[in-house]
Amino acid sequence: GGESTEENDNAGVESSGFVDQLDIMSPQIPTRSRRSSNECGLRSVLLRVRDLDLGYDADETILFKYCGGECPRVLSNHDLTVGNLMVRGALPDLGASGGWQSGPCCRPTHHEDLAFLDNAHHWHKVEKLSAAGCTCVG
Amino acid sequence: MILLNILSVLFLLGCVCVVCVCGHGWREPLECVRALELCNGDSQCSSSYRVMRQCLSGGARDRQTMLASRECQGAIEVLQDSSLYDCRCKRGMKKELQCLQNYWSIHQGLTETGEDFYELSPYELHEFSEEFRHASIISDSSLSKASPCTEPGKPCNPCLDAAKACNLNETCKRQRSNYIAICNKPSQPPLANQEPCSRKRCHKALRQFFERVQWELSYPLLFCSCPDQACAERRRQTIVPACSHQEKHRPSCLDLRRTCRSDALCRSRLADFHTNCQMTGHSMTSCPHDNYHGCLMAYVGLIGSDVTPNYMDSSPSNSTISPWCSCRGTGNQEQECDAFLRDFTHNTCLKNAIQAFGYGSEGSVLPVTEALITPFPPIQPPLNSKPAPSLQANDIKPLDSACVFSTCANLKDEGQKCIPSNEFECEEALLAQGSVDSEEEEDRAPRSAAAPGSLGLKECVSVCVSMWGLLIHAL
Repeated sequence: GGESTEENDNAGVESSGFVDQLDIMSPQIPTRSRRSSNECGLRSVLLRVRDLDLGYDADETILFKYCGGECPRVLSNHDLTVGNLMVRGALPDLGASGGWQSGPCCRPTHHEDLAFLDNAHHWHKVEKLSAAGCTCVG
Repeated sequence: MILLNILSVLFLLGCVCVVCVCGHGWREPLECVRALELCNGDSQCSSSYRVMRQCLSGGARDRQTMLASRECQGAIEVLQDSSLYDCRCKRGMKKELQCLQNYWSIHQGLTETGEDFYELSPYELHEFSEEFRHASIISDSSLSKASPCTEPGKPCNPCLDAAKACNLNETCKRQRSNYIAICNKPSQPPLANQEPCSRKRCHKALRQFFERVQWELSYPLLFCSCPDQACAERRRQTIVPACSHQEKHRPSCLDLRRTCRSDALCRSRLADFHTNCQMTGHSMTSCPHDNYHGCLMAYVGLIGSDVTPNYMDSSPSNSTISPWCSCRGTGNQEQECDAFLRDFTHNTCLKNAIQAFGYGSEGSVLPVTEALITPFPPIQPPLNSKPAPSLQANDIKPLDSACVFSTCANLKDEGQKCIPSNEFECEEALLAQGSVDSEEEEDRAPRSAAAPGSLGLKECVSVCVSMWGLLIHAL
C-alpha cells in the first residue's frame, strides 16, 4: 500500500466546504495557506465511492486525492533539440502537437489503496486509488 | 514524664496522619517487567520465584500436591509480599506481552485451583471521573455534529458517518484498509478445504487497528446506533466477521475459554472484560463504578483474540453480542458454560454502555430498564469457583473481616470507595491493641484489584507500629 508523504511534496489541500470537518477529524492533512500560484501539488475532493464512476454501488464518503498544477517549464538540452527537430519536420512520427510533452508534468509519486463496504455489505479493496504525493517529472 | 506523654500523643497523631495519607493511593503498582527484574535482583525473592515456578511446572494433578508442600507454600508467601504480586500492566506499553506473561506466571500460582471463573485483570484500573465520562460522550457528539437520526426525512446512517470520519483521517483510513485487505483476502495458496481467509493474520490486523487508531474514530464504527437493518448489517460487518468471527464449526464456549487462557494476551483481555463489564446490581448503569468507557475499552480489547465477540444479527436495536461458540454438548458443565456465554449475550452493563455511546449526543445516559431487574444473578459464578475478585473472602482473617465487612458488606464493587476509611478504623483498633507484630497480618488484608491505594497500607502500618513500639520501649 502507499504511505502518504504529503509533507515532503508541494502539498496543499483544497476541499471546498469541508475544511472545518477536516481540521477536526484529520489533523495529518496539512492545511497550508493558499498557494500563491497554481503549483503542482496534491489536491483532494470529498466524494462518495459511487461518484468515482468505477461501478461500485457504495455510499461511503472518501477523500479522493489527485495531482494537479503547473510545473516550472525548465527545458533541458534534450527538450530544446526535440523542439528544433520538430519544427524542421525531422521527426515525422511525432505529429504537429501530439505525442510529445515539452517540459515536466505534475504526476503522483505513489498511491494509496482504499477499502470500503458497499451497499450490499460486501467489502472491496481498490488498489492505488488515490495519489499520495506529487512531483514534477521529466 | 508529661513531656513524654505529649510527645507520644503527638507521635500517635503523626502516625494517624501518615496512615490517612497512606490510605489514599500512596504506592503505585509497578509494571510486571520491572517488578520481575527487581525480584530477580533480590536473592530471597528470586529463589522463591524459582521454587514457585518449579511447583507449578507439573500438570493439574501434581499441582495440588505440590502446592500443599511447605516449600511451595513458603515461596508463595514470600512472593505475596513482594512487588511482583501487586504488579500491573499498561495497555499498549512497550513490552506488553512480556509484562502480561510475568503477571500470569505469578497469579497462576496464587489461586487454589489455578483457574477461577473470574480472574483479576492485569491492566491498571482507570478511574474515570464524572467529567471524563461525560466528556467522552460529548466529544463523540461533537464529531457527529448533529444528533443521529433526529432530522426527519433525511436518510440517517450513523455507521456510514463513522466510516466517513474514519476515511477522512489518514491513520484510521490506512489501518482500516489494511485489516480489510487482510481479512477479505482468500488465504494463499488456495487450499482444498477452501479457507475464506487467514484468520490469524486477520486477528492481528484487527488488534493493530484498535491499538493504533484513536477511540474517537474506531469506537463509532463498532458502537454506532442504528435505525434500520442496513445500518445494523454494516455495523455487524465492521470486523469482517466472515473471517474474524465465524468458523465452520462452533466450539464449546469452555473450550474457547481454555484456548484463550493458554495465551497470556487473550487471558488478560478476557480478565479485563470480566473486571470492567461484569454486571453489578449496585449501580444504576449495571457497570462496575458506572464506568462505561472502561467496559467498552475492555470489549474492544477482546476483538482479534480467540474470544472475539460480535453482533450476531442485523437487528437494529436488539442485537445479541456473542463470541463464536455454543454450549451444546457440554454435559455436566453446561451451567458453567451458560454463565460464561451469558456474560456476553445478556450483559446489561455492556448493552447500556454501547447504547450510551451510540446515543450519547442525545444526552441519554439512562440505562435500559432491564438493569433494575436482574433475571440472572449477575455475580454468581457456578460450581466451585470463588466469588467475585473484589472480595477474596478466603484470604481475610476474622479480625480484619470485622473491619472490612462492617461498612463494605453490601457494596461489593464499591469496595474501593470505602476501603480507605475502613482501613483507617482498622489501624486505630490495631494500634490500640498493639497486636500487630509481624507483617503476616497485613498479607491477609483485602487485596482487591479495585483498591490499589490500600496496598501500600501495610507498610505504613508496620512503620507506625514499629515507631510506636520503640516509643513504648523508651518509656
